[in-house]
Amino acid sequence: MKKLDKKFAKQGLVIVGLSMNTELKPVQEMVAQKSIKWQQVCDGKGFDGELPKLFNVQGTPADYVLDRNGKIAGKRLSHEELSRVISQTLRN
Amino acid sequence: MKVRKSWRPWIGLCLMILVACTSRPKQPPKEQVLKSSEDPELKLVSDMIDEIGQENGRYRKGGGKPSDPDHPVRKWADILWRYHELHPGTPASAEAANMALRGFVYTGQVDGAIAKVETFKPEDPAWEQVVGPLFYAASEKKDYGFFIKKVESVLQRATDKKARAALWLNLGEAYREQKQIERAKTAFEGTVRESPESDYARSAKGNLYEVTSLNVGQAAPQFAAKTMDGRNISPADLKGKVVLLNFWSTW
Repeated sequence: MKKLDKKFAKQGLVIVGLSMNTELKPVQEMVAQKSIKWQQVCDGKGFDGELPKLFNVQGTPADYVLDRNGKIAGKRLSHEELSRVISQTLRN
Repeated sequence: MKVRKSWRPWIGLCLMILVACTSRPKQPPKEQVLKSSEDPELKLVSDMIDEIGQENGRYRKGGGKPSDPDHPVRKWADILWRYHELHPGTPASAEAANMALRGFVYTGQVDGAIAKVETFKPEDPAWEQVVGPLFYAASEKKDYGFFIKKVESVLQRATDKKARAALWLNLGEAYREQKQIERAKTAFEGTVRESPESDYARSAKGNLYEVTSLNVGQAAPQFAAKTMDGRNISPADLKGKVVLLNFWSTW
């Protein structure tokens, strides 16, 4: 994820990290420890929260790429596919 | 490795293992009525699983790889499988088999795990627990063909409702991986029909919604959220941007 941020942040990719942890402390620690810069959401509700329900996330990791028109450009992708799909979506 | 209920914490549980593997537990006192939630065997197995998770976490932090020949999960998978063989037919045994098989796959013994799943008869209610690790094996092999064939043949003779629901759910997920969406839908509907109030049905309903409404090319659902440092993210903030939603967890 850090590599993706480094590679695509300048091209305008917005990353939203959504932690499925039910406790905030380990998330804050991890974010600090890894110096994660992109925005992080954690409501402490785990998989019962609104966002995972909205995107049918039942396990982690799970990624969705959304294009400039708010359409789904990719999901359930391997790391390589993710990079390829983001790169392609940024060009469109 | 997909981990909702992941390998969690562990430490010197050798004594417990000895108890689990070498002796049948003593009968509880007669006046003591045991509820299933107080099944001491199940408690023992889940304690072991917690310990495995801890040891795995420490091993990983120390730079160890799942393929290492001396990986602690290898040893624990053998122990859990022994436990399963020595205590046939109990819920604890099925759970031990589940985690043993996941351990085999995790440490690269994929074909060994598949061969072990073959030993379960279609009528065995433990299919509820062992279909998950078989799916994990299929995903590691990136080959869902054998998995679909096996699960469909088990479903012809399986009788246990929960096992049938779990089998249908995993079958649907395999079809989804293969992008055979109509067949996936049929399987998810089968899950709901089989055991409507179960967690399997809840998962299947989420999956049905996904294969209907969350396909590539469809409009993503609009959402608002608050970041951990208190900023709001609204649909307007994301408009015209390429967005990566990364659902993750620290475990």
